[in-house]
Amino acid sequence: MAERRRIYGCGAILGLALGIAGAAPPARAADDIRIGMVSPMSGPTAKFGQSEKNAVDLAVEEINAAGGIKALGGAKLVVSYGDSRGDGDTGATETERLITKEKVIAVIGAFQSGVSMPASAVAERYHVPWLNFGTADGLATRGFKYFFRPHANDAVKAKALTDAIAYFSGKTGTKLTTAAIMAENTDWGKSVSVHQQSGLETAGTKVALLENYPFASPDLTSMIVKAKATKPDLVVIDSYLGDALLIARTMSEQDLRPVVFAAGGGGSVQPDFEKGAGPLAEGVLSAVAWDAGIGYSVPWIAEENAKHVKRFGVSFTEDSASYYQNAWIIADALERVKGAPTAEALRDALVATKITDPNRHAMLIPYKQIAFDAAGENPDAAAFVVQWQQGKLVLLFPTTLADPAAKVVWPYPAP
Amino acid sequence: MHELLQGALSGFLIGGVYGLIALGLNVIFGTIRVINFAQGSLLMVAMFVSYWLWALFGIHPYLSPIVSVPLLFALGYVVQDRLLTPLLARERTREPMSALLLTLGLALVLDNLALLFFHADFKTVVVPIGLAKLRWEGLIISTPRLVGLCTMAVVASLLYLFFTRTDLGRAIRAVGQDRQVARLLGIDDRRIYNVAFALGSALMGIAGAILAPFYYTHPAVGTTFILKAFVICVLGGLGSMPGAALGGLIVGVIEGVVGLYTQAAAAQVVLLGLFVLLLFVRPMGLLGVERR
Amino acid sequence: MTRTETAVAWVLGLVAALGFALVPVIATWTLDDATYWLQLYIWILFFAQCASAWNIIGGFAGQYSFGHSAFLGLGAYTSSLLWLNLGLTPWLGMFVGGAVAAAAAGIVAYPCFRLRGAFFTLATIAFAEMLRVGLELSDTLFGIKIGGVSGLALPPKGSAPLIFQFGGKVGYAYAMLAILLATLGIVQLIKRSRMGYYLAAIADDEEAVASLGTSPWRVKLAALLISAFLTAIAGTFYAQLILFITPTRLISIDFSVQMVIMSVLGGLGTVLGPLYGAIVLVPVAEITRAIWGGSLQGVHLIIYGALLIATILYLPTGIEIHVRTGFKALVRRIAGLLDPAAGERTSSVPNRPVITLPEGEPLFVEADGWTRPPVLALTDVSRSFGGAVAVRELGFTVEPGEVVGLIGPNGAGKTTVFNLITGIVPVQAGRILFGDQDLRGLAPHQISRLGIARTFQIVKPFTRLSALENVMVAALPRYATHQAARAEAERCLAFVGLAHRVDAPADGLSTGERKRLELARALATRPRLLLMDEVSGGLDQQSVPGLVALMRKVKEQGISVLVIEHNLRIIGAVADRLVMLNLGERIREGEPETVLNDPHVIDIYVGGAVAVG
Repeated sequence: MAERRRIYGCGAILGLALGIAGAAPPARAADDIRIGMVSPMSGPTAKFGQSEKNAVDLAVEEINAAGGIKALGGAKLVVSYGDSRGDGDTGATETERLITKEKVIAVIGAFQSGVSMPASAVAERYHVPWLNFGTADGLATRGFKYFFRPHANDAVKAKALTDAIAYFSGKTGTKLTTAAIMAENTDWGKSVSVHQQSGLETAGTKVALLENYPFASPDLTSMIVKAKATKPDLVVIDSYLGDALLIARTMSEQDLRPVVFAAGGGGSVQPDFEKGAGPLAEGVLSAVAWDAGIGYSVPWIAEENAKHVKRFGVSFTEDSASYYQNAWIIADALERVKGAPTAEALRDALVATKITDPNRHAMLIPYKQIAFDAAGENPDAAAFVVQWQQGKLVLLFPTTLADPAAKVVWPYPAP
Repeated sequence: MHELLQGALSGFLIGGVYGLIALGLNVIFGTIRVINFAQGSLLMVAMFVSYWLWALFGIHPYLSPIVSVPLLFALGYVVQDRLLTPLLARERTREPMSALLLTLGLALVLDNLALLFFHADFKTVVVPIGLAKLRWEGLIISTPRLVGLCTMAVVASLLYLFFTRTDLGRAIRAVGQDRQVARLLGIDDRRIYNVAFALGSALMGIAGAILAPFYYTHPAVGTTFILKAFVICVLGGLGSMPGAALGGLIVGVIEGVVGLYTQAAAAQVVLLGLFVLLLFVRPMGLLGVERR
Repeated sequence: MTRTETAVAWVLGLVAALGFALVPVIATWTLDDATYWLQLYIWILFFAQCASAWNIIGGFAGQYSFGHSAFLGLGAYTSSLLWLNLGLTPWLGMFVGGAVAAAAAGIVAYPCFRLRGAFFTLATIAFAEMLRVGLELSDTLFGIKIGGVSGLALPPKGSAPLIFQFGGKVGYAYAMLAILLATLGIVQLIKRSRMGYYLAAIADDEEAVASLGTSPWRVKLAALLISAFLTAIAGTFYAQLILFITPTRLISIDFSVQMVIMSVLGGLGTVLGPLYGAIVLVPVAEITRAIWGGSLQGVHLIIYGALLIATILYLPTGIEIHVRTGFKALVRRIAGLLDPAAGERTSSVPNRPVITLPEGEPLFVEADGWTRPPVLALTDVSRSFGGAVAVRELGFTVEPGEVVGLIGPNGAGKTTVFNLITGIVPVQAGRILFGDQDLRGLAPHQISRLGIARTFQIVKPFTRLSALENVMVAALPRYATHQAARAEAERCLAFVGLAHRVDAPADGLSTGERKRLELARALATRPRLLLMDEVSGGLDQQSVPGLVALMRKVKEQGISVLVIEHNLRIIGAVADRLVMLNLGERIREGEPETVLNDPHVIDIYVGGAVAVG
């Protein structure tokens, strides 16, 4: 009998939950414009999803505070959120929900390239513009018409890193003969490491080891031992935070001290990396899509970041900066929309995007220009290279944006 | 050649930690005949305890077992008493399958509660020993891993003594061999089961303290080690303490050596392949006893 | 059930099924955001399919695989690669994928099924992980691009039903529904067939099944192949729905575990259970994500875990039985309203004619071409376990139509002798002849087929089945139709005096009844030789005469009996000859009176004088 009561209880709770879920979404004003964002709000990468949400919320607040979309009578922007959980199918389902149920006219997403792939395909099917964050190559080679990637992709980021390394090795008069690349075995790790390899070999550095290791390994000593045997002048890693820490520590333990320790991005630029690696982080070069250091040469960016820090406790990250940028690009396009703000009309406006003013908020990530080619990529997208110095990330490359007083720490001073 | 030795040595060292985790799993299986899918989650809890003790109070992880061991003992005791005992009373078979599912459910709950409260951050304990190393004959020995290996050896020996020389230990073994008979001999099998599970769980307190200086803490950290722990238990022989210790070392060395010649990801496949081979050829493991 | 009730049940069932099937159409008509709800509906169907397929091996056969997502992956990749490279429509590629998965299952079955319980589970996890990592590492396979960890994207072709792509959700919903219905049909067929009986028995007690003459291995293999095939089809559907497959997501423990949880919650070994499990759990995930997605992380998994624990503890048979009971209650209520006159509730057990003495063929198998040797002859049989000698150079015979009692103190080796005869334990030295047939090297089920049956010391009926079904498991291999097997089973049950308990669930029987059931089961295999192990154990004194009478009846049928028995009164009354063992050796043999009054025998048993008789 107790069993039956429990069952009824569970059933009641379930019914209640269903009721709550079915309850109407918050009321909206007739002429609000709804956009959607998809990111991993739960699961292992939830931190990124949260920061991306913060950035989009901030952007939308600012847009609305400045009078909304003036060309549409001051219409306000409203955001609907989708949680991809880091899964492709969940991301796709959420995108579809945002489009069909929430009736968004644009979607920003999705952080993981493995999610962006199917999710952007859904947006494409519904003819809804997809403002991408996700660096994998394959995203922009599908002939999609509704796919827009304003930010630096893997090729651009890899090139920024290899260019920076070439630049600094020239400046310091060092020749880097051999390199070892260790990348996590995910689509990002694979794609970015391949670009890095070709960039390095073009610059005359032989890549003696290119290894993919399983994400979240308990131990990577063998890989480091192998890398050490090639006597690399340069070590490049493409890892998320946990593995980046493990690799840095194992390198120190095994006395693998390259002249240069660089990272293709990912975990090595997070504050927790420096906290965890301590002195080992000093001198690590990383390619990023954005860094707070840009604020040095572009004052409004410094202010904006300060605002973000005040509100959320941390700076923008490269992914959240991109989400912020994407929201502003949408706002820019909405101002140019012909007729009613439908997804189709928005798409046409997006295609014609041409932002060059560095003081526009869409230029939080400063490029020469924000415009889209036929594949939806931004030919002027650029990446930046930063380095950990004394517990802070210092922007070093491109030198035009860096603090002239900033000096590179070279070689890697591993203790 | 040098690389081979270094790879094998490093593998040997980390194998000590693997063995420690496998010991916990083994204590539980040897008695209750349940493969505890939540073992990794218990390890995760232990690591978080070590982390928070360090982050909030500056207590060195090697001292954290003072708190984590009793805490995990209690947790394990409660889990066995409240969740598994009613289940085992119901099942007739020797190795209840639904207990497996129950521990799986437990793992899901623990891992995701941790995710909920601690978020998906990677937390690192930063203590000097984390980066310390010794040198010997041109080879590098990671000190925290060496500590892990020694700890494992000590723990395995203590467990061996416990199970063979103490009354409680013998009672646990008796219940493991034949529950009915043990009961007839006056042993409270319910209490024994509780103690056994609690012990297996408490061992994770030690493992967590060992891992904290050189491995990050994260809600999903349990899943990283759990499959390896299963492999080790089977390799060494389910129910055999020396087997688990030995199995850990062997797996560590295999990983370390294979990783030198293949991509790190491929080494995983090799290990799993060996595991499967083992299951067919010698499911009782190296030191296990053939059971009727 | 009365006729009204039956009619009401059918109508209600059809209405429910039809309603469920019409959801896509109704939703599209009435709802503005139909696409959202339809997607949910599709996911429910998808997971119901996966869980149902898993249930065949997991629920019905009791083999808990935690690596079933491997079959999802094999199906998805096979059909997708066939389409991308050869233009083969996924409708056909789906079946190829199923065949590939079944083949893979067959290959891993041989090693996996040699493992029991948790070992099997671990092996399935290991295999799935190997497949996943292997696929992640391979960008190409035999020159064909498979994408490795980056995955495989299928070009969207809009509305193209012929290549399994639909413009809207409704197409996908009905495709999945059709697949699910076919699967449920297959599951129902299995459940009703002899395979269903064997599976339920195997899930309970594999050894007992082997001793009844069925090879458990073959049955489990068949179940696994079917399960793999059906799971792979779901994999193809996934590929066609999402148009993007990666090994990391598809061949994940995540999917495997969800299949398991839904089956467990719904009801292991039931037809509709997995569907119910999916109907409950998929929306749970949806709702938690909708409400808490942004703020609380991983909540749906906490709920899944908690539900799994709660189900195991409080609802181990799942919710299906409760749905069924509720449905029956509803049917009765409605039928009562419609037809109050017919409301006389008949007892749940239908009246059966009491069969006092069975008509029909003799209960044992006449051996062909058997010359007239003893039925059973052991010569110098020895067996040790580790260092302990269990049986030492043992020899004795059982003549046709004899009841031979095997007696001796505990640890004398009697049960070992039985295990040796039935092939559960291999003989290490010596020979066992059954008629002309040397039993060495034969598997238990083969020995059973030759005509040796056995009851066990600890009675182990198949708890999931009724008494009748228990006996049918033994009878089915020997009959072409269910009815014939059923009739035979009823006959055997009547023979042992359980005619009034045919439909009772086996675990509801008393100890005495269970012993009779055990005997009926053994008799249904038409043995020439029956081995009875400790029949009187646990029986009260009043049941003893009945037991003696029963054993005499068995003997009258012409079946030779070798019986282990501690109760010397029983054995004295029933046996023609006694063989006494001590410490694995035969120390006395002869007529009961002689043996039981032998001082040496008495000494061994009781250590003193006692009167027997």
